[in-house]
Amino acid sequence: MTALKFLARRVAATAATLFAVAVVLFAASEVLPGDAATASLDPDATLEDVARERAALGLDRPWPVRFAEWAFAALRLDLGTSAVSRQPVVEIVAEPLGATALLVGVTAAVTVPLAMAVGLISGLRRGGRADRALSAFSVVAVSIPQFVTAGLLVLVFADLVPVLPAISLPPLGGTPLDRPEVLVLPVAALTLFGASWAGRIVRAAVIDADGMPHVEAARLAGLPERVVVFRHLLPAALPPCAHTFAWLLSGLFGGTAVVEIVFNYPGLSQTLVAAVRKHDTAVLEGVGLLLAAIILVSFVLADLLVMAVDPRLRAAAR
Amino acid sequence: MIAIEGLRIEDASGAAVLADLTLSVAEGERVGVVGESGAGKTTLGLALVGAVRPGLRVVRGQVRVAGQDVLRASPADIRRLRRRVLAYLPQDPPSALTPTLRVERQITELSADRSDAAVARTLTEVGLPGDRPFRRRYPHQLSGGQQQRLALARLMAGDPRGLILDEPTTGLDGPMRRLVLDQLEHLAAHRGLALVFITHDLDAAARMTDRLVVLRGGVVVEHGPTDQVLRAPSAPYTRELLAAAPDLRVELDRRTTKPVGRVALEVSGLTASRGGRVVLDDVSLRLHEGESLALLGTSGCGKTTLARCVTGVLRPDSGRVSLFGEALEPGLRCRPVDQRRRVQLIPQDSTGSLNPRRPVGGAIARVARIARRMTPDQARAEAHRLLGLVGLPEELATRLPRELSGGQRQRVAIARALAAGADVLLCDEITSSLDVRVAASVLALLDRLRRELDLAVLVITHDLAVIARNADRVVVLSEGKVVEEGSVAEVLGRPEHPTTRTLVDAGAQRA
Repeated sequence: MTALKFLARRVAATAATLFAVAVVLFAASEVLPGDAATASLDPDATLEDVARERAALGLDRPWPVRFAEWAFAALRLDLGTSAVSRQPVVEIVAEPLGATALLVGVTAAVTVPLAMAVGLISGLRRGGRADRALSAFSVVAVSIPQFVTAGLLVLVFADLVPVLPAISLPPLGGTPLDRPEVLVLPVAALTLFGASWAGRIVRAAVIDADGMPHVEAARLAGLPERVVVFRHLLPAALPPCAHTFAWLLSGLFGGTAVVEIVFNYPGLSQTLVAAVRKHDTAVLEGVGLLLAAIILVSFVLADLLVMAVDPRLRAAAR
Repeated sequence: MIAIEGLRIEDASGAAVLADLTLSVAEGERVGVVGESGAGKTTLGLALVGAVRPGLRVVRGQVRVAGQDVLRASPADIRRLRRRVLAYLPQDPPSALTPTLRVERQITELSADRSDAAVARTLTEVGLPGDRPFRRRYPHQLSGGQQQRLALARLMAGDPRGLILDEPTTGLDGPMRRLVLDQLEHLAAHRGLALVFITHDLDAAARMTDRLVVLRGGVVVEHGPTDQVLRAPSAPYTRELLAAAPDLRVELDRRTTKPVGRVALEVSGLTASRGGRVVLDDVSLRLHEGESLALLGTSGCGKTTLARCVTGVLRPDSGRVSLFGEALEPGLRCRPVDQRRRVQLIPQDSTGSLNPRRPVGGAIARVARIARRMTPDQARAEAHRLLGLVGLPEELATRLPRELSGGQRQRVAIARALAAGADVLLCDEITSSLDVRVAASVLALLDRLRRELDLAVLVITHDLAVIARNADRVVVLSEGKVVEEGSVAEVLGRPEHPTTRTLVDAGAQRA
């Protein structure tokens, strides 16, 4: 009962946040100079041409009307039409978003278990040789800029030992899945950073949980270490980890740009850069809204995961 | 069954925590280990199951349990020993229950026989229901008493021959303490368990043990049959411990302050709720200048909530709190500094309320500077004066909280409350985590300060000994309501309400 109520409240809060994001996105593109009318016309168009175009696109109506129209359409997953290419935004965005989602998904699938393993090993043997080595490595990995990491990976695995492609272009008309090897280097570059960063936080959570009285009690009760770690310690360490991974996911969606550009990967960043250059506000607003939705949902999922593990939260969540 | 020979354990600086200790426990024998915290009791208990806390080091000696050298045994042997031979019940047993596991799992993960019948038997043996709905519960859905029993049942699941109990009664109120001791006694008798009973509660030791070992600074200062040690102690330290132990009947004769001064603190019609549940229901009380009023009740009766309302941390639903006739703002944020400084709380464990990175002298001076607008120099001088007043040497001013003992920290907390220029002190179970001897000295200090400075003191406690020694009047709280009120002699001598009677009976049992 209470869990359902909590879920309902959480979804409502998410919807409210999403609405706020929509307002900000819309306001930003209103304030920026230029609009769809100026973007779609030649630079030598007269003021009359612009006014005519604005009327044709409905841009002369007051902004609340246009916002309502845009927001309600977005609810039906219709993100409007690009004034530049005259194509629906959903069509423009679908393929690159899929490619980026694939990159992020594969990265997360590698990063999460890796970060858990790194955090557990170094947290349980803190101060030991493995912990010191992993800690040193992750500090280095987090502090090197991603274009350098990506460049180094290309140098080693595409130039010196040419086993992997330096450029991650999928075959013409196909998706990256048709040539999975193109994913390896971008995923590696993202994972190096992600697993190092998340691993540090998992390590701290594991150390915290390791000091809890029930974990010590489980050891003193004579349970095998494997049981102590997986049944008694991990559930206590999970809440901070779950939220870390939600952060990671949102960071990846916004932060793949550098890697995508280094590897020429056909993801969202290429689309976004093009849209910014061409003042294609409809695409920018649409992508912004989609990313915000994805990130918010991942945080709700993290909350649900934590609740599923800890019965006290199920009771306390009102 | 247990044989310790010349065991020496040192800390990182080379100081001995246990100094060449030799001790043996036979099958079915019940041995008490008493002494103050820092005496090495817990280190000893852990060494018996082959555990040594980080930072400690076994220098020499050996511990044999059931013929096995536990300090050199393989991890697998140690695990078997902890499950099947000698189980260890840690301090505050409810906190040892993993919150994410159901009752059933807590039992089965440690038992050899995982059948329904075996689980039910283990549960009913400690007086818990063995039915299915109960076994599906999580620890937070149990009462405090049930959690205590479950922690015990968990260890019994492995059918051990001996049990190490580390301070099983610390922090428990009278009725709960009695329940735990009854349960342990029943279990030990029923199963013929050997017990190593680590405690600073001498009455509990008297009841539970055949033999007593008095430990101080890692050294056995006295050792003998329990009766003999308690009736005719030979070591001076044992005599000191016994003298500090509370005795209700004697204490009742001491002089009390009549409530004649001005009314310092008045609480009227206070009602407060938490999470939709009413925790305080129309509570009224008066505290006079120079008087010590005790607020008595079992855990969870609303005592702490009352303190939170008085300090303003919690906004009550209705009712008012006034100080010398002047109404206090209900919320802390609305309270001017002058109102805040005059009501000061001394918490149960001041470790959490002292900044771990700030020397205690600075912590006291800071309050004097903010609350009484002293200059830094004045505040420093005031901090030194107050440290002297609470009986601490001036050198301690530069120490960090963790470098002080529990009793010293409580004195610092008192000094800090005085630095604010408090008129009313709220003492929330301030001695419950201290040893008898230290607790007695902190209470004596509080009494002296109250008389010298004409402070009004509200003592929140479930410990009758504290009341008998320290309070003039008693207000008994039960389920958020005041159920009894009167002088100490009246309330403890002729308790009327059932709640009071249960508390007093449980207390009288210790004497």
